[in-house]
Amino acid sequence: MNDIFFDQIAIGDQLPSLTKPPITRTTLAYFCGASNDHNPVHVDSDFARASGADDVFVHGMLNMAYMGQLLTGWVSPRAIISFGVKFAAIVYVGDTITCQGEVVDKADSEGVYTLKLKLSAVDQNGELKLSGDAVVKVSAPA
Amino acid sequence: MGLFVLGWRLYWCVDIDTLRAEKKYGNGMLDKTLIGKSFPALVVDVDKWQLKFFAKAVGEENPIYFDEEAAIAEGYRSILAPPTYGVTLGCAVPDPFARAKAVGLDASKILHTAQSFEYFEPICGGDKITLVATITKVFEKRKGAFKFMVEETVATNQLDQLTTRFRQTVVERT
Repeated sequence: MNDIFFDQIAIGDQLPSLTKPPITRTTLAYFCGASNDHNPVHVDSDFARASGADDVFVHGMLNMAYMGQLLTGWVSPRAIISFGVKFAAIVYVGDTITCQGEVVDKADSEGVYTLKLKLSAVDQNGELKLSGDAVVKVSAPA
Repeated sequence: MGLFVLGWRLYWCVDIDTLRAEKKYGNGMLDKTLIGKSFPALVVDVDKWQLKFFAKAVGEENPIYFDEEAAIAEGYRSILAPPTYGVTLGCAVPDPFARAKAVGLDASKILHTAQSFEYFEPICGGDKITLVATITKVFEKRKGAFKFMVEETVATNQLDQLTTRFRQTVVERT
């Protein structure tokens, strides 16, 4: 399934970016139930304001799930060795998230070919929301 | 008075972690004695319906996440859990913030600042996953203005295979 070959990838190559639809309150309601994260700060505006936030804000793990889709849209899910992010800024209702990745390193260790990826997610204004990295396995040189 | 005592005893039974945090660390101090402490294992059945709901919630288009035939055709036991799903399994408890509260963080002000995963065997619908969480770091920055907790969770499946190990960092916002 993994059709990315080590020798066909160069450091600096970009992954195809992934832009998700604008995040709505409905998105957050679904994700609240689906993710088991029932923290009302993500779905209940009254609670969010009482706790000092301007309004509900997006679950960090929803944006990380989007970033995961960037990876699994490019390589097989089995090919991911590690994946990590830092949540750089809060994402709000109405934001449109675009996930991006770039190959920053290549390694060949005992026949296992891997790429190191630098990841970022930005909103519609280009503001950084997530930064991260991942290591993925790819196929041996063809 | 009787009601008060009864209420107190109930409170003690129901929410011992919160009480402990409030009683001993209500002044904003963190309980660093919990560093290195592992908590009782959580055993979770990976529900296929919930996997499909998760796929819908994140707008997943790859059928291996919601169509069992497609997943089996790709060599999985059943529909596949997406890469971040370990955190969802770890939240399958009455109070996902119990450990943070025990450390002395205010659960209503917690923000997730970092999350990372290492992957071994896939997690699929119908699996039974055992999660063991350990608090690995508790620290402050800027003279206590920011309080952090890091925990690491190891998730093994019903075949005793390691599926994923993940690390979560949370901070109490001021």
